[in-house]
Amino acid sequence: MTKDQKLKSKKQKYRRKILHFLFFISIFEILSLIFDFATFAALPASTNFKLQEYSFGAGGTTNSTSTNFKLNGIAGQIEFGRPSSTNFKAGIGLTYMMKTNLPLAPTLSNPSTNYDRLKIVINTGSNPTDATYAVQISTDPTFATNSNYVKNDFTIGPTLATTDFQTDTLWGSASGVSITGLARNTTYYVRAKARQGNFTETEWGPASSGIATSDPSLTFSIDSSTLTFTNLNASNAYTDSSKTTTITTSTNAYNGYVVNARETAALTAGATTIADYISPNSTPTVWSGTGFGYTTNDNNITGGTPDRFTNGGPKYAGFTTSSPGDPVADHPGPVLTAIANEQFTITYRVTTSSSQKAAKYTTSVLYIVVPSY
Amino acid sequence: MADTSASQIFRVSPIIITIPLSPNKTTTETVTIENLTTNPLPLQTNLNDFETTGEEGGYVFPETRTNPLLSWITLNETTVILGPKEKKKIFLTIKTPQAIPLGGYYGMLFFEPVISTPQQNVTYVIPKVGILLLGSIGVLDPKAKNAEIVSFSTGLLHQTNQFPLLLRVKNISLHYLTAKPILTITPLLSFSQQISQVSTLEDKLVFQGKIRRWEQIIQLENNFPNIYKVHLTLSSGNGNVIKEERYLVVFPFMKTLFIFFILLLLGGIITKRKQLKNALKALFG
Repeated sequence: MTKDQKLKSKKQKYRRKILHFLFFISIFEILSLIFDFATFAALPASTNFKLQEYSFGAGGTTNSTSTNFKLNGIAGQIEFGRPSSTNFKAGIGLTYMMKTNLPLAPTLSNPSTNYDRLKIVINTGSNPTDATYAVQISTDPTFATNSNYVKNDFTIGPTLATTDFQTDTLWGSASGVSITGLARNTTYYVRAKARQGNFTETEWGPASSGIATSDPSLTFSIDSSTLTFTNLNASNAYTDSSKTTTITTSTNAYNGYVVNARETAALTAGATTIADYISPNSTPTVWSGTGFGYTTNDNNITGGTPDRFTNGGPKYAGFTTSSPGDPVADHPGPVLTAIANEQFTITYRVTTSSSQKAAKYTTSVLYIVVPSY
Repeated sequence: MADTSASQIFRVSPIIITIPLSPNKTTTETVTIENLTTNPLPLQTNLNDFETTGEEGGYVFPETRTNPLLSWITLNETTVILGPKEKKKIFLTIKTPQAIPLGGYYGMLFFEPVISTPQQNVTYVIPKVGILLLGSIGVLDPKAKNAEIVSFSTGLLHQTNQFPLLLRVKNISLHYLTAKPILTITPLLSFSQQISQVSTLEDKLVFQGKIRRWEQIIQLENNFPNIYKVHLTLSSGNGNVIKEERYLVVFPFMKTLFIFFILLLLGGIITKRKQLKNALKALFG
């Protein structure tokens, strides 16, 4: 290769390098325009606005952090006390501005006259949906004594953990949730605080009205205390199925109640008895044959298929003599509205054979009501 | 013959009494009993054992008094005569001995009308009301695990927006506890209409060493096919919480298959319509 050729080749090489350099610079500029590359550290920005430049007059840094703590810069004016009223207090500075809205007094109620729980509905104070709330509960309207916190399982406990702050959705929104494990016949007050990320936690908001838990009670009645069957003879086919007992129950027991029935013995006259109807409570049958039995109009009863007495019925079962008896009426939990005068009817039937010894047969039938647990 | 005997109505409060006990201490509990009729009402009291059966809240109350709690209780009146509309307080004095093992002690207190002069030829109907007595001795370490989930299932594939829930919880502590399950159901494929659903199930008492069961159909609020995460938070008191998760898919598989086969059939008919026409001609002339 000649000297000229070598020089030409070198020139071409440098020209190519310069072109490459210019090409990369152009590409970078184009990309910068497209993606708005930041040449410096990210500046505070939201979807619509960007702070191009900022500083603090007294020097220092935007914020300082250590393993456990972070200090945010405070912008504001000199404080001359904090004007306050009973429910509100003025605050200043960036930290105050970052605070979530103070939640107003939660709504506390006892719609089911329960004895161990009260319903709470959070008043969000127009906070965004991702704000979280904690609730303090006390028997003292000033919260100075007997104060506890509502844990994230809605029971009460002596300490408040970060996990006890929950969104309004988890607090049941407008439907609210039940705070459980409360003492019976006691008045409670609640108040809430909110947060939405670090350094945003409010103080405790105003307290709710005092709402009392009830005493758990149960009222039980039967419409008559004795039972007399018609004289059984050929004209009535040795049958009486017209006698009933109506049982009436009222309670605020959260898990409801069960009424069990049993007899002390079979219908007896001296040494002679009328046998109990053969079908058990778990599988009652349409009446067939003889005996002393009962049916219930409770179509959702515990102890087997719920409508076993009514579906295709009436279906009958014989009384048991063993404790606690068999279920004849119930109301399963959870009881969200107190049960008032709930009535069920037990209808008896006695059918004997024509050869049954003529006599007066008697027994005692017990209806035992207990709260479900 | 029509029955003309009087009705019997009475109210008892409270109906579940929790009794915190300490060795060698005397505690007093009060039960209020009220006659709601305009007739006098004589009532007798009975203390019986209370034993749980099965996982569904079953119980028996044998007419025995083997539970030590019953021997520690003295009633100020064992037979009460209530005047018309009268309300009376019955005091239960519970005196515990010096040395007693930690744990739960249970019993039932019954009120039953007394038939003063029973007649020979009458069948009596007797109402009886039971009060559940729940005693516990000792305070448990709040950090100690007191319950465990024996089973938690939701099924995996579901055609409609409901699924069967089965939850069984065992009490592994020495005291009874209240178990309170909360389900948070979150759709994993995000659509704007779909949000998390929170279902609080019934609280249930679980006695020591026993299992309680929740078996029910859970209705999903969302009507859309999706993959759901079912997050269970089981509270067992004292701030104890157990968490578990299950996943389930809601998709109308059968409906989709049916539509697919219908489309396949229609496609076949359209593409093979000439052969089909010839075949029908050959068949029916």
